[in-house]
Amino acid sequence: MPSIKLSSSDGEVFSVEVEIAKQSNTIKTMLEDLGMDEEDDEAVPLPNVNAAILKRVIQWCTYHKDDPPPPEDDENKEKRTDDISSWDADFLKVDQGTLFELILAANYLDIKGLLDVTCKTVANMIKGKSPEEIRKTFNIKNDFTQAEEDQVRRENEWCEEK
Amino acid sequence: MNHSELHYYNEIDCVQMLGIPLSFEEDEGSSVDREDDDVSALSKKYENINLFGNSETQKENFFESLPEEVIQLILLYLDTASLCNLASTCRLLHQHCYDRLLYKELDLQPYWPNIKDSSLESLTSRCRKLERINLSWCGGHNFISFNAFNKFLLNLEKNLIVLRLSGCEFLNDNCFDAICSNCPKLEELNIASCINTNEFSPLVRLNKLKKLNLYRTNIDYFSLYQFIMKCSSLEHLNIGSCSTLRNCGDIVVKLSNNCRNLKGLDIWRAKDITSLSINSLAECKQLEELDIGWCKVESNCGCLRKLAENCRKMKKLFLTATR
Repeated sequence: MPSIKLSSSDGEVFSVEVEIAKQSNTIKTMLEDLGMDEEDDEAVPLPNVNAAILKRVIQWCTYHKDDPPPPEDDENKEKRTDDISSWDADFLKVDQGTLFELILAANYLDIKGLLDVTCKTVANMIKGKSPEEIRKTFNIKNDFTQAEEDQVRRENEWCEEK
Repeated sequence: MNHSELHYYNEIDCVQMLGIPLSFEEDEGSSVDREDDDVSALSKKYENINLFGNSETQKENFFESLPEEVIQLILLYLDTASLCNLASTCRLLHQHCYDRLLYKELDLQPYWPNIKDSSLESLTSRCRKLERINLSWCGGHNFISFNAFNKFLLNLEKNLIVLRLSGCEFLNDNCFDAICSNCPKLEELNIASCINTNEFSPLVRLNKLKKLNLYRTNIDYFSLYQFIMKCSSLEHLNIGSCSTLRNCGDIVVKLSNNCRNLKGLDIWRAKDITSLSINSLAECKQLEELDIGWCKVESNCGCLRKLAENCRKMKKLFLTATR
């Protein structure tokens, strides 16, 4: 199995099978378009991902290496959030900082499957909560003026639990 | 009461009890006033419980670190009620959550007791790109006026594909005309049990309809006949319990001749159905579901046999009280 080296923002180098690394469209494009040689000893620099996160991303890609390519987004398809596999759910039992860093890494590396499942996880943390509960969950500061807050509340009072 | 996960109305869904085991060993025998101590121990314990599942020390709002397109990606997974709740948290998320592209589908039926004129008004500017809306059961006790509904409808960009208004009292002739004039792309219309509409002639304009539910409405023969002649794309029609509809047998014949893609037909309790009209339905080879309950069809004439032989895709056939 040919492999490539990936270098994290903090300088740690990971050796990864090419097929696993290619789940990242960013890396795939680098390899294909920029003619980076697979046998090359030089590590691909990933300045936006630190070692701790890159390690988790590689773990995710390794587990999902035999997955079929993710389907194209269908606008009319219902967006479900209750279809996260138990492995992914366990994998994403991390603190919020790590979860959001995984989202940023998945976005930068363009790994659709990982981006989808992390976004779904955040959506699930929002669903069914009142505004105050959401603020507490994500440490969101209420920066509305009193007048703005009154208006927003009026506009959305129909969906408050009664 | 949160009905957002239900497709029907219920008084009580369930009550989820949350709790944690508490240990009082450390307090044992140490205090004269046990009750007070228990209470303070309890409140102390609860202070440390984090009900929301995140780490205690976190101080950062991570949404601020996400690029806009990633925030939008998360919001695409949210239902309307969650979007509205999230919009009420802060300015940044308010701005994101009011994006028109997030409001292509609006299901207000689970919130029917709360929906008023003002609710529609506040959703108007967000919902211009709306494609599907379910307002069934909403607007009772004059909570929604036909004027407010018309205003909401006229503000849309005419992209509506699905409109469900089952049991909506505000739907009068004026509303119905507005719908037929302003929804050129409409493929599904449900106005079952809307008993305040009497003038159905504008229906003919909705010639892209695939699904039409007129159950228990005041639909008349001539309007329905004209519509059927213009709308060959029709796949599902419900005219069950339409007590004022005459010549139903003739309607069924016209339907069979003009709407060969018909998949579902409900003529429950229709008058004047003859074996001739049932015979003509055998031409609709795509028919999957048929309800001719209480139609008083002569079943020994062979028309049901012909139906069974010709409509090979039939999955459900209701023959209630057919003797």
